[in-house]
Amino acid sequence: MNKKEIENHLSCAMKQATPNVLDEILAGCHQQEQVQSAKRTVLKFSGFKMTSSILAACLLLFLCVGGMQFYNANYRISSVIELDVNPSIELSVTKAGKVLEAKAVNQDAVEILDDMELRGVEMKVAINAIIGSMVQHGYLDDLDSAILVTVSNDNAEKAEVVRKEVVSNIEECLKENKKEATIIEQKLEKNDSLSEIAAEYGISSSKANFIQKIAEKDPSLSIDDLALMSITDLANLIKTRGIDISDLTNYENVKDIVDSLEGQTANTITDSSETETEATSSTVDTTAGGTTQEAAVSTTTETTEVTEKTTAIPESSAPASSQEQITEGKKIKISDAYYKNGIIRVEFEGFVSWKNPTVAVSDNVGDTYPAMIVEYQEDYCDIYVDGITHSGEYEFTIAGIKVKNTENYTTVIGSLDIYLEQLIVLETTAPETTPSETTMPESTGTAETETSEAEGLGFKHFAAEISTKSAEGSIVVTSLENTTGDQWEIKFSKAVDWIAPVITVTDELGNTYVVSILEKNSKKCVLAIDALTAGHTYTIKISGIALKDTQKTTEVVTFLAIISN
Amino acid sequence: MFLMSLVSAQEEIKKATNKDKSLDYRKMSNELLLIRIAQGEQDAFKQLYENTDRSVYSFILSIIRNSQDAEEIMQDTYLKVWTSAHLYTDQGKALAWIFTISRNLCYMRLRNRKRESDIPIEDLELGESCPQIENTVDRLVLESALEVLSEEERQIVLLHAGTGMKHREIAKTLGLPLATVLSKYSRSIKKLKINLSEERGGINE
Repeated sequence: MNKKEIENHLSCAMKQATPNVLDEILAGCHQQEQVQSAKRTVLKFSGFKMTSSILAACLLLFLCVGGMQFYNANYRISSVIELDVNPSIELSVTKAGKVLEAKAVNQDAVEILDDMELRGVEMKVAINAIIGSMVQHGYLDDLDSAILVTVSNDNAEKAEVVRKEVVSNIEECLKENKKEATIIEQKLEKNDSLSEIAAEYGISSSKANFIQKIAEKDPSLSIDDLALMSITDLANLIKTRGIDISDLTNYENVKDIVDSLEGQTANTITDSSETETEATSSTVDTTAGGTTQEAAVSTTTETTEVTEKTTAIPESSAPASSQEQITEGKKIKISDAYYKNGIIRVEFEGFVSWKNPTVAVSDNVGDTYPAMIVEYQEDYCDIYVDGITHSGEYEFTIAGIKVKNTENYTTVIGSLDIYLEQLIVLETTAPETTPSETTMPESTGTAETETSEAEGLGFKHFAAEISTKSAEGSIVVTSLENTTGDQWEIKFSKAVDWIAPVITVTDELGNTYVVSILEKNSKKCVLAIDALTAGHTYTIKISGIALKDTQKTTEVVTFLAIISN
Repeated sequence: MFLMSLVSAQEEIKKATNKDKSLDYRKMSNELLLIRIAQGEQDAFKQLYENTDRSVYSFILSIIRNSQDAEEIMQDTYLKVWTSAHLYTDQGKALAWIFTISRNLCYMRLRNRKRESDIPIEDLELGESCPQIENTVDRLVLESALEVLSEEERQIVLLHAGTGMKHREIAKTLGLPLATVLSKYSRSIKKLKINLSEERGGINE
């Protein structure tokens, strides 16, 4: 078969193969138009009357919800924090983190509190004051001092968050006072007998819980004796008798409590803060490309492969991170990574912990893309990436991550193939070099249907990216904040003049949104953008703006990725 | 009476205008048609479909390599053209714009298929490519093209040989240098020749 014959066969084949689907398409178009017009009708329906009644209802709801939230946040006890050394102090804290009451549980605590007025102060300030006072009174002078921290909250997750915050505050305070103490974090299971023991011996319920559990584990110990002992003495007792308290305190602390009591300097039972700091700073540096060489030099013999990777990946934090991974002995494994609507979702095998995570994204030719981690959980993270315009293989480097229950934070490198979904090159400005992109509506009008859900609630998680695509490059957006429900404040890098401002907002599906400028001055503007919803990436274009006193209008573009309400 | 004659005169004018319009549509470039589609003109849409259906289908088939999926994606592509024509800015690349829509839809379909089957995209079974082609040799040549050529080669070959697009147009639409298109086309035809002769040999044996 010669060339001509092949061409003829292909031509005939394609003639026969091409289906005629025009009628189906037209029917589909008609259907879509009907849906659109129905939506428009619903939106127009009953005009002012409907709008005003909705507004009134919203206002009422807002007042009720707002009032309740205000009450809950400021006047209702959310968590009870108990600090036991020998002095036992109970702090009742609101959801907003303010102290409602500071109660001295025993006589020693009365001296510690010493007429301190802690009501209404920030939890951190209160803890600072209490630890400071304990130091002054000589309670934390010994190297083997111990502090028992117990946080009660109806919600276990919230209790965990508060507990971490308290421990971090105590650590800071101890550091400031140049003191060392073992912090024992306790999970509290309330029962009636606890209150009885606490009342009988004049101790806090958290200490009662602690000694009750110790007595249960070692029947030779009596609660009578234990109640008289300080937390430091109790900690020493646990160590000398080899009592397993893993079910009482945090699982990961058991080893540390023994280690710390054996005279190690890092005395916090949770993650060693000093180690964390070192690891984090190292990863941050290497991500910036600063210490890549040093890291490569310090790589040990077992990391030959890693060193090779250093040369293969320019501007990557691979060497240091991989080295850390190897010395750690436990590697973070990525189970899946995929891209959707400007977000790379990375899923991990097993659980991970995070500390100040950072990320770098590059493509297979080494070009890097602005990226940030917008959400991170124990088993996955979401990376917002800007400027991906072509399908291909991309590499991401995540720093500030570790396998849960291990010590050092490390860096993990992964790659994924990105197929741009529904990308349309619109080529509005410079088609060959910097095409602006948007995507097609998957189902037109989705945003309209979700309007009422998003309105007035505000957005908790969103990421704004500064664009470098402005025509002159002289005005950039320095901040983008969600002031209230649908209001967004945009600040500029330089003073501007508003010549003939036109602001457009489009999402990745190509839908446009109603924008009104509520306020504008030389430094910022406040926009009301209607119907933005979570899970979408929006492009905000501001044109008709000029550098102050230049009269030369330009265009400022920024991107906004709303992760969740 | 006067009113009736006035109404009928208006209808005639309207018909004439429509007739003119349909004539105009045939002469219009795809870019102009897209602008008219953006204004909701269905005739412009029909015309655009007529102008581009074979190229669009060939392009989709060259990526997806399955006629059933290709047909569905073709429908989705034109639906999106209809709903999003207002987003198109005239840069003389209407077909490239439509191709981008179809390409993304194809990749989405492939990715979904990959997710469902957990097999790498390139390893996915071709299936029956084009059962609707009655002539066996025609079908064999097309199936051979879909099987032995790379994605880019398939696009170039199907667009040129299958739809009659000029190499220059293909280069512009796919954003490739003309020299690349020419060399890839020639290499692809050679590959096809070899493959077809091997198959024929195999059959003969």
